[in-house]
Amino acid sequence: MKKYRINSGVNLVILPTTQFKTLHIAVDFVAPALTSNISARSLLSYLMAVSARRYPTQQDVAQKTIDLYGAQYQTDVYRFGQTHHLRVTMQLPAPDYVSDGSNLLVSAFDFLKDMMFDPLVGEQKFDDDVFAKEKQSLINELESISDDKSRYAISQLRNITYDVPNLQSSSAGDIDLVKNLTSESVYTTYKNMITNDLVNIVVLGDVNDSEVASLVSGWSVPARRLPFLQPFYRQALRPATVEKEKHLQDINQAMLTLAMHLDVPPLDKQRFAAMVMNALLGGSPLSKLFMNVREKASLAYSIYSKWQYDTGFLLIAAGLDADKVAQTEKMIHQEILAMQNGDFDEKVVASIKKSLINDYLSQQDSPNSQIEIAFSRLLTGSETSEFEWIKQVQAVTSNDIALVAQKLQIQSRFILLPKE
Amino acid sequence: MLEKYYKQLKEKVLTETMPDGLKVVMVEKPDYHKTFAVLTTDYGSLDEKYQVGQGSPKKIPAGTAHFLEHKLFEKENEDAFTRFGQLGADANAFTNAYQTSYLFSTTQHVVPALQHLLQFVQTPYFSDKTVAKEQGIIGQEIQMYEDDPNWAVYMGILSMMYPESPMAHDIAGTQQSIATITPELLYDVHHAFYQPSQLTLQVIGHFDKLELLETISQTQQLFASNSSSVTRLTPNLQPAVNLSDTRQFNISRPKVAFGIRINGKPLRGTIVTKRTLAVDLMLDLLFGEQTDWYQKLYNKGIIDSEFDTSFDLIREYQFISIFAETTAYQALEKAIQTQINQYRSALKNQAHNFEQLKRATIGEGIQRLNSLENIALRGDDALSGANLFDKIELLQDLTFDDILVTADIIFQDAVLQRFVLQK
Repeated sequence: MKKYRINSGVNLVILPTTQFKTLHIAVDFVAPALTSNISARSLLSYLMAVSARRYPTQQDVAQKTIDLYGAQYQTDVYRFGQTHHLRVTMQLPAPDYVSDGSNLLVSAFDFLKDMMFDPLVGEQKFDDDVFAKEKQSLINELESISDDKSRYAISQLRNITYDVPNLQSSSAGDIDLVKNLTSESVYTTYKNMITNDLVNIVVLGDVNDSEVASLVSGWSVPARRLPFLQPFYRQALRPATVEKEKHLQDINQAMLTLAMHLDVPPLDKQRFAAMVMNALLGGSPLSKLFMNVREKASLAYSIYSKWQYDTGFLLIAAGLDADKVAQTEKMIHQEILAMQNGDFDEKVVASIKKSLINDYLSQQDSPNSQIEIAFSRLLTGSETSEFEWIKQVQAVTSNDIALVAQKLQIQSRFILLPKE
Repeated sequence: MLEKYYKQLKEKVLTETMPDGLKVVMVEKPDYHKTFAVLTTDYGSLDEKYQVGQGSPKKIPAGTAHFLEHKLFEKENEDAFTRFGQLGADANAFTNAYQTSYLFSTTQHVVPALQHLLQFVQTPYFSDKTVAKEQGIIGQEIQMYEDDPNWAVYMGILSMMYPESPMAHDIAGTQQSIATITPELLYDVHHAFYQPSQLTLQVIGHFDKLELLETISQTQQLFASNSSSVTRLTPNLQPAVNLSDTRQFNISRPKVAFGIRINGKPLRGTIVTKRTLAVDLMLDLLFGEQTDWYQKLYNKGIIDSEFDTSFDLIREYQFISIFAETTAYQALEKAIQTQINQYRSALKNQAHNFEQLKRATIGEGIQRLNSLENIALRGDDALSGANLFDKIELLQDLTFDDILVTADIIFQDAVLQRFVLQK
């Protein structure tokens, strides 16, 4: 991956390809994830999606994307461990496939410049009407998290799992903090972001390097002193499990969620063993949790595990009948114990590795996955070649899997139950 | 082998019908690493009654198509997923109103994965024991859907538009309906709807077409091709009587759905896709984000980005649905009704906007073509025979007059129904 340094703290990666019928431009604004800035940045992503000085209303923005041949313009927020990302993305049809599209790339860069760097502001604050509306939209969105029971349970689990408040809230922000935001305070956050954030830019498609580099220069993103970024988070072991239960009305099923400590050092080779172990435990349809708990014992309708490499935890979540929670949890622990004792089928391990390699190779057929990988390489400063990646996955032994499974230790449990 | 070349899209579709009636559709994508294959029968949750040859009509309990889809993976000694896993392929399946599809995606061992797909779908194994177990699993799945407010609001408006019809039934059925499923019933249904002449195989991606055809041809010889004619018996639709309904649900903000049911003769063939494209564009001209209508409501906080319109034309069912999350659903209803009442004046002088929107919709269609899954599944192949590439060409042929004519068909006797989900 070739990285261009546009300015201090401003990087560009170009991924030239004719495989796709689209052009992609993505910009990542990266800052430390702090309780004090996540909510404002989340609201910023709403504001930047719907207005700019040249496109004051959401209607103007919508009309402009229509003019750009149905371009998809989006803003979103993410978290990777201790970093918060406000990401602006644009996808367009490749000029080759539309009539009179030769100017499309230039127009897209112009539009993005307006949306990111020339907002609709008055006296050191965002336009009041737009601000009020978008603030309400974000509040609505945060309130509706609890409508999705699985998302809600996982957010509650996160809350009791992390010691550090910065990691407890969702990347979309916290409802009470959002309510307190003002147009002035969010504008301050905006200026801070534009001036101080690490800015990573990825452009993918049938493009030429020098044209893209010159278009990016046209944004005039100023040099900045790099913020201190430490993406990976690791937490010390707790002496006892933190537990919480909640009863909700109008739900039929219960949700059982567990957070397991899994301390694999960032970028360590052991991450490949952890990846295979997670897929074998609950990260794939061939996994022990899926095959044994769901298929054989019919205890849960949905069950999976997810390895959170960025924070050093492994999440297990199950949707099930309330009267089966205890039995299911017991079985989950038995399955983990079996993994730790090396009690698993070698044939399944071989299948799991093939499936991981299949997923990895399949990413090359998705522009968004390619962009995601480029951002992740820029953030972690680490790049693994396709050859090396496949080699490392294939090299994982059963002993490696058992060893990394032995690191699993339960730290917290959240259970969502129907009201009796 | 039939070849159709789409010049502007630089895509080629190869079609072949095997001697036993299995239809094969291939799109080669040599730049890609993956191959995506889907085996589809045009049998879905709407099919609740059928007839084989001149035999007596048979009823199918609600939820059977979906149940059968689940059950087809389980064989006497192993699960069909296991073999896909050994080959490093990702497999899945889904059932909707009008089709059941079995699919896999892989970057390695395409030929054995394809053989396995054809074999497991055409080799049923159902027993009392496995059926009983599945009744438990699907029972839970139905409950999970019941906890999902989006699903509840969608089913709510469908039940109002098409009371007591298969469309009003959940794809997974109910606990009661699936309790009546037996192995014999599943064998009967499989025999009718999974014979080769009822199946279409789509393969898209990185492969050698001659090798694949040879594989398919050899694999199909394993199955008897006793072709019998199957007739889907369509229900007599009851009129929609209820204009407004509400259901209590524990959600933070009310979710509301509006429906407009369009009565008329069922359409067949390309006209289905043409009508759908025209209505979608017309809805965009009347209710899209770029309209003053939308902006006014957005600014008043009556709607937000959750607002969405859609049009479905599935066999004898034809309806518009509009979704929103809002406490001001009465104001929203009034605004929608007003816009419908004055659709002619609202569409007048929109020829230029139409051209722009059409260009953008074509652009969106082109962006969709990156994904092999989209090429296989986002076309109207099972509904009208028009694939995703045809859809883009049909869109290019659409004129503003088509929109005006379609608007008259849709809105002349439009009755707006409303379903609200709230605390």
